[in-house]
Amino acid sequence: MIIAGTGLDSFTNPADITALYPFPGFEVVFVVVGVLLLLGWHIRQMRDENKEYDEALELYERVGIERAMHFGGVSHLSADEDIDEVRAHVGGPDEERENPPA
Amino acid sequence: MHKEDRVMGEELGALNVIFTEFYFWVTVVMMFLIHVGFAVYEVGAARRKNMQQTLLKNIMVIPLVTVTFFFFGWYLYFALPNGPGITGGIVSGANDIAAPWAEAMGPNMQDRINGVFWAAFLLFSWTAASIVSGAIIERVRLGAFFIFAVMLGSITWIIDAAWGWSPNGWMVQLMGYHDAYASGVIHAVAGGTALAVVIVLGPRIGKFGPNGEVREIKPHNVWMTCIGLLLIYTGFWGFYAACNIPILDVGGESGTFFSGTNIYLMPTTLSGITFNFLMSLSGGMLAAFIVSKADPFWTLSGGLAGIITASAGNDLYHPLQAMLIGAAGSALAYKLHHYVERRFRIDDAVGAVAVHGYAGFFGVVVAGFVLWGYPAAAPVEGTSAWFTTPEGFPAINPLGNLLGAIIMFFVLGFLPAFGVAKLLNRFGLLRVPRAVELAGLDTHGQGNAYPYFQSSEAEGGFAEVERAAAATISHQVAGRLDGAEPTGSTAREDRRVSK
Repeated sequence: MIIAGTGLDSFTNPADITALYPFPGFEVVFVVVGVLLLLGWHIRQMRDENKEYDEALELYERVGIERAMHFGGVSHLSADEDIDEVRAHVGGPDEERENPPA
Repeated sequence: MHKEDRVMGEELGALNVIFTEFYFWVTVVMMFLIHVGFAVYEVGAARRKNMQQTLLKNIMVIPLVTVTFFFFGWYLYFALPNGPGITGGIVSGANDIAAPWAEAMGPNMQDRINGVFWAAFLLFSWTAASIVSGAIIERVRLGAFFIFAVMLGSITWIIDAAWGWSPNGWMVQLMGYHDAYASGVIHAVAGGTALAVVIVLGPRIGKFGPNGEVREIKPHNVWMTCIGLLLIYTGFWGFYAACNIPILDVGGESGTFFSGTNIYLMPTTLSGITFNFLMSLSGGMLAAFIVSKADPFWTLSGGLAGIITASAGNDLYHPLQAMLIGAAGSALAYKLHHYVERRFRIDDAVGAVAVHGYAGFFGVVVAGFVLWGYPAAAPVEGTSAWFTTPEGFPAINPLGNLLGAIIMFFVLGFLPAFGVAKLLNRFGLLRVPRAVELAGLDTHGQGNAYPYFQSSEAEGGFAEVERAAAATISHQVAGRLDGAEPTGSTAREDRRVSK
């Protein structure tokens, strides 16, 4: 059974073949979609980064910046603070809770 | 029948085409090591609390510059060799080769070289962006760096390549500009960009004392920085091969004579550039070893500066000339880095401005003198060069290369980056908040990269300095550092609180 395809259906005459990819003729559409996705990515990244810093500053305000410094993470704050609340803000691997730095 | 159809129907012609395709493909793979090296070296240079963000910043160059180089970078190279408006208009054929919707920008039986050439230039783009990445570690926002990476990797450097790194480029045809292995075309433009960004961004907290004294912020791992530099050397070797055309008939009127050529299609040999690559590397290392008093980081950086300085003329220099020029550039880069740091309080975290920018600039200028009178490229009809050889070819000369170095470093490197940095800073989107910088870029998110290591947390001898700075903001965390306000950019979050 011969089926409809998205591009080529024969490699018999390679000298006559140009584009090998499917959907030739739609290149401009691919480019428009790609550019829009990339612009969206940049906007999303900047928004996420701004939000991330807002949350980080909120956390540091609550626990004190000096206590967050030089411990390579925020898990050491668990001795005095509500760790779940901290994790809700910053995430972090579970191992940190089990092996808090001295 | 297409021209390539005829070639691909003849065994020798097809072999030449497929060999060339494979040759560049191999160089691309080798050049990937440059990026690996930059990633390792930057992470090593960062303090422990900033390692993961530093890595992310560097590796995201890969997708962002790749995609934008597909969309418009490659097109700019083919469209703008004439300026436009200097020696002609926009090149109309660029659309067929390099517009992102062109059939040649994908698998195509009538084209076997576009993709590998594109990739070779793209790897140069990654390199340019990575050079800037290292200078601004530990305080730049990721989003801001991504904009600089795209701007440099897919716009400014490739415009300078169209102008000065193409046989038809107006700087080559008019000025006799010569820069065979990109002292200016990649390194000076990236160094100029990095300088602009570090000026607006400002130094890392604690880098300079209250009286302007310079404090050394040590890498968290010197060993990693050195391995990274060695990897960059390896990839750089691939880059040298990538800048050559492996087989071309350069015989002209004297008859057929096949040779390798440089990027301007003028004769050179793989043998010659191999001599010069290694001799300029050696000259740079020998000089840096002495001037840095055997600092391993600067000895290896000096090797890089040596290659970069000699690169403009390494297609033609004698190996001992390459060695001496490399040594001079390396010593100059080291001295200038420390002078600028002391005098202007500019914090270039890895010496990128010096190793790439100053050495690259110097190397272009030197090549203009040493190669004075050599043919720069075959002449293009309708263009009259300022200086010509007896046969009417545009001639390499000191003026052309001096102006070329200025165009690379200042016009295309420094100025656009300074403008964009100022714009981002206006919106508070250039630098991270001070509290985040103090705590570490990884601290609130990724956490500790070395969770099983304990340390005194001196973090390069900075514990006291940073604790003192933190004490001034502990009551208003997002605010400015009272009494210890660092110069440079301020984050939007810090401005909000300080109002």
